[in-house]
Amino acid sequence: MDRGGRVLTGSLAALALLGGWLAADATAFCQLLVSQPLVGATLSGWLLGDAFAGAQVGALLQLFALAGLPLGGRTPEDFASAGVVGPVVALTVHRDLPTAPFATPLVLGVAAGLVTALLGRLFVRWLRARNVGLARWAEEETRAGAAFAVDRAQWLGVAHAFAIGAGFTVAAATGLAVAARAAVRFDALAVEHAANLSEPALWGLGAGLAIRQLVSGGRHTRLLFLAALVFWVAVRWLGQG
Amino acid sequence: MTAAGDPVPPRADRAVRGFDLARVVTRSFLLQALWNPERQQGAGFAFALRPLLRAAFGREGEAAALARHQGYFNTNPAFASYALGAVGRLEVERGLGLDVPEEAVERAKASLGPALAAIGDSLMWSTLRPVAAALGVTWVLGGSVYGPILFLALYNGLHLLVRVRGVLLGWSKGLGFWEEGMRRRLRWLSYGLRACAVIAAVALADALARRIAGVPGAGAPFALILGTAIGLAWGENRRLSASIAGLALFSLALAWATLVR
Repeated sequence: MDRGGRVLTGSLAALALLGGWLAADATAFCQLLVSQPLVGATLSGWLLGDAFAGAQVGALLQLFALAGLPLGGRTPEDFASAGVVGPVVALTVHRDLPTAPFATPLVLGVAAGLVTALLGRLFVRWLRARNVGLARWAEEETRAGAAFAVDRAQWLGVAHAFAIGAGFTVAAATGLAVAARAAVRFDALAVEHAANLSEPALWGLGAGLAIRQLVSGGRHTRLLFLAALVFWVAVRWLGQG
Repeated sequence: MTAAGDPVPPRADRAVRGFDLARVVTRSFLLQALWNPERQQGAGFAFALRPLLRAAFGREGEAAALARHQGYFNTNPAFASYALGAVGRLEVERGLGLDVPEEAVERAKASLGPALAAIGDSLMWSTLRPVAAALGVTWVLGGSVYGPILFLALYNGLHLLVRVRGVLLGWSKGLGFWEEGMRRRLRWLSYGLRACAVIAAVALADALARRIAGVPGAGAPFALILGTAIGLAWGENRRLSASIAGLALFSLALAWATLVR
């Protein structure tokens, strides 16, 4: 087995545990936002030996994650798994292309993360449908006098979220890393060129989404932002002069 | 219920130990463990309230009280702590024989859920999370690996405070916690966070401009501006995910790179 492949298989168990933990944190357990891609990707990168590379992939994914709010009954995209899968793909590609700039692994990692987030939404929806049955069972048991059923159902809910997250993360990381390596081997030049072209546009898209969220507090907030931006540009311009 | 001439029941504060309230706080972290489209946080609310229900009704009455609380409930998960404290107090008073009808508890839950969701979602999801994330991302773009730690510290500083204080305040004041002073404090917190959001947005723009300045090729700033314009306009159409827009950008670049060569 070559170097990129060894990196992936050697860390699969640790990545599964991380994927499970982050999937549980996203909704079922604690919600400390460790599951946000900025944090998850840094942890994933650290497990694979390069925390800062993971943090860079996570930073771009985080900007995309800010576009979706987990409000009401909306099923959010699965950025918890995306945060783990993105750095796996990026670092696998980076080890296959050690002389290329980090733009190529970064863009491939982010693309893999976005695919994971979209696919993971289906599993989140499935998990929530399973929770209906578990909640009904707990209700029937408590009506019959078994108060402990509530505790048991809650912890089962956490365990389900962990298991589904762990399984999906490993499957997505393996599948997408293999696909990314195949693409690089098929036409490395085209992939590098595409990554160089799309990297600034992806940062811009992410920044636009994030800034939109940040200044969504009304017209006054948007005007204040514009004034601050003009002031900042003027200060920079004067400083250069 | 107490009737005229009955002995005055003991106060709720004496019936519940600090340890019970601590258990409500820790259990509130599993509020969404069984989140589902039918009852949403209903099962989690009952689970978190269980220590107070046991203190109020004992082992015999606990299951019936738990069953009452497993119906529909949904609010912001951090701000749910206020509802847990206040509703828990009502239940304990009921258990001690005070005149608190079952409908009053249901009404309290039904009114607190949407009210706390409105303020909590706006503060935690729409303001604090983007501010903390933008500052964390800015640190990473500046070359620091500690951006995620900054993000976690900023978010959880307020998140954990709300979780703990919510239960304690809801318990000590009952439904009276939702007074003018509390609403005023939350309003000021919201103004402060919005000011921070403007600073975070400018810091993010600055960090990205610096990063793209280092990218070779004259087209990079143009691509950055084009991407930003798409991102700013994207929120108008929320049916299509922003992730699809990102993948479409990369696919277009890949098609271009393949065709041009």
